[in-house]
Order: sequence, then structure tokens, then C-alpha cells
Amino acid sequence: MNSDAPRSPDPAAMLGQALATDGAPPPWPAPTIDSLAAAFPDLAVHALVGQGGMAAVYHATQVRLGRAVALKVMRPDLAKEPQFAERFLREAKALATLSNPHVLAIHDFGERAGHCYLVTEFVDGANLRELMQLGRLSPDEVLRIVPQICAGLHFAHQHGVVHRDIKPENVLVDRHGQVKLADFGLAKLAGVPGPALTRASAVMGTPHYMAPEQWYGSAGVDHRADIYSLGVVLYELLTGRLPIGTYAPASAQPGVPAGVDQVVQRSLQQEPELRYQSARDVQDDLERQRRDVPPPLPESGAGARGAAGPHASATRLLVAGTLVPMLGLPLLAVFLNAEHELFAWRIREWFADDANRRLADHIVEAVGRGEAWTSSVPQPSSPSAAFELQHGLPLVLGILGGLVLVTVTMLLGAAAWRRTRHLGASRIQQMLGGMVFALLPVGSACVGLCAAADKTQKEWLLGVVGVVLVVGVGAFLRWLWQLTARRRPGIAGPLGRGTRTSLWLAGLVTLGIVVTAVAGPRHVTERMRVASPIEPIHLLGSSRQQVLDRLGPPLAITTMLNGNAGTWMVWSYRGLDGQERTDALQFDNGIVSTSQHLGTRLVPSPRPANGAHAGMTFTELLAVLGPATQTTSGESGMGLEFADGTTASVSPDGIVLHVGK
Amino acid sequence: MTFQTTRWSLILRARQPGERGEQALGELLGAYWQPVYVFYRRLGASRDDAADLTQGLFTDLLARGDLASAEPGRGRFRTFLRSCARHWWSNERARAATQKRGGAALLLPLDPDDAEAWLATQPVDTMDPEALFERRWACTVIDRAIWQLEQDELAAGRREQFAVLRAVLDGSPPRQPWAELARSLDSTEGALKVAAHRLKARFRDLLAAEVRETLPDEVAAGDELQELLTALHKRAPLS
Repeated sequence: MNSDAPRSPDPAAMLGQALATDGAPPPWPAPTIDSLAAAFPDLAVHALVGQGGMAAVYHATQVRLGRAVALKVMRPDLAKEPQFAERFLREAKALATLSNPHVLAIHDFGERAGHCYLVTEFVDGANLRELMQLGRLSPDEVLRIVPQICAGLHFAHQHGVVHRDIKPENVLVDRHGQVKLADFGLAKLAGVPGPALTRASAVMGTPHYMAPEQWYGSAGVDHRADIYSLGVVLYELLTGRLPIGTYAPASAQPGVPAGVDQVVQRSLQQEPELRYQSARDVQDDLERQRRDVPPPLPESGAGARGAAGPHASATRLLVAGTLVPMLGLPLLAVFLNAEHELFAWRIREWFADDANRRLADHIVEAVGRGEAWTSSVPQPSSPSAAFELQHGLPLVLGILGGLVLVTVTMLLGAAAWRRTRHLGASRIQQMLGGMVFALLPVGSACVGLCAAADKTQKEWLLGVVGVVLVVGVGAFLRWLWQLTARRRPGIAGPLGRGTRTSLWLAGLVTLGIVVTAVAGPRHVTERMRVASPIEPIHLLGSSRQQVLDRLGPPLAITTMLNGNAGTWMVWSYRGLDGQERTDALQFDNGIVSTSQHLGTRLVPSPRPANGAHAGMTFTELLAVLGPATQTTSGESGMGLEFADGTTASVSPDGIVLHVGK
Repeated sequence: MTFQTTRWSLILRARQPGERGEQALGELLGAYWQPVYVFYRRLGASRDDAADLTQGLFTDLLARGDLASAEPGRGRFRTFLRSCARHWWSNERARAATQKRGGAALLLPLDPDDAEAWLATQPVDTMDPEALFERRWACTVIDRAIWQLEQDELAAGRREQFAVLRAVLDGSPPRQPWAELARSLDSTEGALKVAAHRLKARFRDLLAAEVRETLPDEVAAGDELQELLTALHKRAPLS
């Protein structure tokens, strides 16, 4: 009895499955088997095995030959259309000549008892739609199946037959995995102008597979419409989705070779001229991709983690492109800080004596606050070994870090270039894509550097925030774009997805850079511009008289003598642009050997009266009162004495506290 | 699969004993003894009593000629047998109160072990005997369809393939990827999926054919299967 039959775990699920396959009710009543038996005495009709919008298919046996066949009976009311039978017979005759392993063979056709029918070979198998319902096919299998469709299509196209209705339902696969194309040219029959068209296409309901030109009537439709439909089927098989709107690349699926995207994209071009011109070309390209498919992973768990697809590599690229500049910038900060420390050390070296140490501090601080601008750094005599270790190491690390940052950025840009090429982008799209990836970190680094060069905390902060914003927002938007692209409905526009994404991102990144550059170190650039008429470096090699000629009469000169470093003069003058500026000049044997621009008063202030100097900076006081004759320094600041008997006290941070006789 | 008279409609039409209906009834009873057995077990009969009750009922049914018209529940074989079993329980218990258990001739080789094993997997005391009867009926239909499916596949020389594919008949994805399964069978993924699809289609046909044997001509197989599915999902508490 049946009792020894093993039971499956869940009978309810099995029964549910068996019942669930009953789909929508048939769109029209198919002829009964009894009525067909009368019309086809040479056939033993067994069962209705399928019904579509246009025809019903029966499993039958040719009695005389004992051969299993499929009897396809066209919808009776279609057959009533004027001239339909005539057209049907003409088309069927052309189809019957097609003999190819990948095209369903037609054994017989005709019209009997009001039934237009085809007798075709019977495929004991399933169509692609049914296979997809069992779960998505592996990319390897898709690349084995679709080239067979191409072969069948190419053969038919060579014989002047266009399928016009390529869709998963019309691609049959037999028990050996052999592919056969069914229903060649039948859509054309339904596509007769007039009421039949609207009704038939409403019933067929497969507009997603139709080429754009098929939407606008069948006049200009040729074999390239099939290639478009083929592209849709290819994409759907690989991803389980239709390529509607801005669709994600098929290679985002694990195991799909990146080159397949190009095949999909080229098949789905809106203009027939831009598509593949032959199904054979599609076949060739796909078979090439198939050879590129990595061998299946071993069953051990180790392989599973290595199954990073192109999608994963794109993600890694994005993460790296975001992280590298963010990690690199602190290194640059260390570098710049070390450079500043070195500069400070040098200045203090020159102003070695007690009297001038305060001035040195003031210069260093002024530079640190961004109130002074160094255009040339004097050579240090000989820093101590300990100092080198303390400041030289970060300096070297900073330089190395900067180099690494730039290199990695370049590599990322190159990888992005390659990546976009694999996505099937055009050359311009590739360039844009590469630029986006390269611009993101490079641009961010530039902004950061630009801000950092000024070395004030506020601008540092602005720069870093700007970089993080640009990189973060860019990465986030790209991710968001990709995410929503899959869900956006509508027909694809003239611009490809890659182009639009690239343009958006390029625009965004540029905007970010501009905003950060303008809002961050704006007054730095301003100061640079004002200071530009005479660069202190131009004074190098000048005699005192030549300096006078160039700078005009000094508003104030502070001269300091330094034992082994010659004479230092802090020289305030009115520049050609009317601004007051202060330079520090070192004279060696009467010739300028080093020059420093210490600062600029952006708004010339009226010379204040004695006693109203409090609040000025130390440099400004010197500019007003001339050189100090005597300088004393202590914990609470600095005391100055001038030739006219004026005394001044200056706070340790260089602000004038009191001026009096 | 052309239309032919089902066993149950043959039985319904039989008017005299000894017609073809008797053989058909024997076959059907042989196929569907388990629902009756578990029905009696859930009513409280012991293992031996349940087997005896089932045998007795079947003997009685076979001994009668014009049975369908005489019994309530005329319609589907399932509802017919269920109500017969219920009646038999009342009658037989009344009789058992007065007379000793008689040794009915062993007509059918009932093997309670299987039915007991199935019972052990069922929730205890949460289902009334009728619901359990229906549930076991549905499982029997499925078992018989699978058994037939297996015979067909073995005859076609696809033993290994069937061993792999029977697991996906309930719509669950295979434990291994399709491609791997295909490799282990020296086939391709596409071919294996085609086979799975055909297997499911064939299973569906066999299920329909199986229930059709228990239905009068006017009832569609799909309706009966739908009822069986409901029975499988039902978890009615014992009232």
C-alpha cells in the first residue's frame, strides 16, 4: 500500500504550492478537448497545458506517428478578424521553414473548423518565467541560456523573421537545458491595426519587453526590436527585476561579470541604431563574459567570504575614498604644526637676547594668529638634536603622510575610472566618474590644505568641517541615489544612469569645494592680495638706500642688533596700495639677507595722540612712536622707553597696556 | 488524461453487490483506512480496538450493496466515510456492551505502526476526532500522490534526481544552491530547474487525479484540494 511512502516535512505547504499555481482566470474560453477531437481526428489531444492572450496550447499525440506534439490554437475571435486567416497562413508558412535547434519546430499549420492552428514540437520542459519562479538562475546559467536565445534569434533574423514578442514566457527550456524559442512572429498577427491591436496588446500585457519603436506602431520595427527585448530578458534573468527607469547595474548582483552591464546597456539603447545590430554580436559578447565568470566557489566556508562581487568592490572604493582624506588630514595637520614650530624656533634663535625675545614671541604669535604672513623662512643655524627629534619627526611623518594621501587618492581615481568602465559607461561617463572619485578626496585635501595654511584655529576647523561635509554628503548622496534608482519607475530617459549620477556628484563636489574655499579662508586670500604689491622677498639683496627707494619713507623703524645674526630692522611703511605694513629685515653687511612680512593694517587708522595707544599691538606702537631706545622684559610683560622720554608697557601677548611720559 | 468515471462515481452508481463498484470500494477503503483508524484512536479506542473497528466497518460496507443511497453524507467519499465511521462507533459500542468482540475476517492488511507514528506527531487533545480524520485524509492524499510520483520517476530512471527534488515540492528553496545540486547530479542548473518544474506540475496533476477518485463527477478536484488544505491548517481546540 501507500503507507511506506516517505512523507515530506510539511504537507500543508506542499498542498498550498500545488494550489497556488492557479493564476488569474484565463482571458478567454479555450476550446474544449472534445471540440478539438472532432476537428483534429489525426491528433489525440490530451490536455490543455497553457493559455495566453492569443492562443491556447494543448499536449497531443500525432496518432499515426506516435509523436508527442503541441497543438496551438489561436484565439477564435482573433481568427474572425478579416484577413486574419490569410495573414496567419502566410506567416506560418514562413515560420515553418525555420529549422534550428533553438527555434521551436512547426510540423503543421492551417485552419480547421474555424480554428487557426499550429502543430509544433512538444517541449517537455518549462519556460523561463516558470524557471524564475523557482528562484533566480545563477549568472553562470543565465550566460549559458541567453546565448542560445541569441543563436535562435540570429537564425530567424537571417531568414527575415522577426519575433516581436521575446519574453520569458516564450523561451522554453527542455529537460536537457536546451533552449527553444516559441511563438515567432505571432505577435505581428495580433498587431494588425484596428480593434484587434488594442485588445490583443491589452491582453498580452507584456509592454515591458517591447522596444520603444514598437510602442509607436510597427512600421519601422525590425530585428533590432528583438535585441531590445533580449536585453530586457537578460537583465531580468540576472537581477529578477525589469530594467525600468534608472536601474541598478546587473553586476551589482554577486557573481555577475561587470562586462555584462555593457551588453545590457547596449541592447537597451532607445535608438535601434545604437543597439547591437545582430543577435550574433550579443551572443559573442556574452560568451566572452561567460569565460570571465570566476569558477564556482568551493563549498568550504572560506570561499564564501571571498565572494565579493563588483558591488562590494565599489563599496570598498567609496569607503576608502571617504576615509583616506579624513585620516590623511590629521597627518597634514601634524606636518603643518611641525613646520610652524620650526619657524618659531628659528625666529627665537635670531632674537636670542633677552631684550628681543619678546619681539620674537610676538612675531611667532602674530604668525600663529594669522596676523603676519611668512614668505620666506630663514635658515636656522643649527637646531639641537633633541629639537630635531621633537619637531623633525612629525615633520617627516607629515610629509610622508601627505605623499601617501596624494598617491592613494590617485590610485582611487584610477580604480574609479576602471570601475565606471566596467559598468559599461561611455568614455565621457568614465571620465566624469573618475573625476568624481578623484575630486572627492583631492578636492577635500585642497580645501583642507588651503584652510590649514592660514593656521588659525577657526579656519582649521572650517577646513576640516568642509572636508567632512563634502566627502560625507557626497558619499551619502551617491548611496541614496543608487538605492532609489532601483525603485524609480518610468521609462529610462535619454541620459544614462551613470551620466546623471556623475553629473550630480561632480556638481555637488564642486559646489562643496567652492563654498568651503570661499567661506573658510576668505580673509586669508584677501590679505594675500593686499600684501602682494611688494613681496618682502623682492627686497633680498637690497641696500638700505634701495629699501628706502622701494618702500618709501618708513613710518617707523625698530632696529635691533643681534650678535651673530647681523642687524634686524622692523620696518613699518605705507605700501603702494596705501596700506600700512610692517616688514622685518635682516641686514648683513648693509645688505638685506632675510626679509619677513610681519603684518598689514587693513584699515589705516589715524595716528592716535599720546596716551591713547592702549590696545594697539606692539608692532603698531613701534610704527607710531618709532624705535625704542630701551627694552626691558619681565614676567608681566615688556617695558619700552623711547627717545622722547615716552614709556610703554606691553602685555606678554603683545598688546599695549599703557603709554605715558 | 481524458475524462473517465472515477471510482467513487462508479461506487455511487452501483446498485447491486458484486458489480464493479465493490472492487472499487475495496481499493478506496484500502487506501483510506488510516483516517478511520486515527479517528477511532482519538475517540479513545485502543490500538487493537481501533484496528478491529476499522476492519469491522469496512467489512460491513463491503457486504452492503446499495450503500451510497443508504447512508448520509452522500457526496464525497471523504464525508461519506467519516459519517459512516461515526455511526459505526455508536453502533459498535452499543453492541460491544452486550457481546464479546467478534473476530471479523481480516480483509485488509492494516499496519497500525505507520498510523501510530503519524499520530505521535500530532498535537495531543487540541483536535477533535473529525478534524483529525480530515487531517489524516489530506496527508493520505499527499502521500499517495508522492508515492505515485516516485514510482513514475523511478520508472523513468530518475531516482537520484527525485531524491534531490522531492524536498522542493513544498515550495521551499533547496538547501544547497541549484547550481551545486545540478553539479552533483551531473546536470545543468537550467535542466534541473526544468525537472523541478515538471515534477511540481506532475505532482499537481497526481493530487488532482487522486482526489478525483473520491469525488462524484460534479465536484471539481480543486475544490476538494482547497478543503483539504483548510483541514491541514485548522487547529480547532477540543470542545
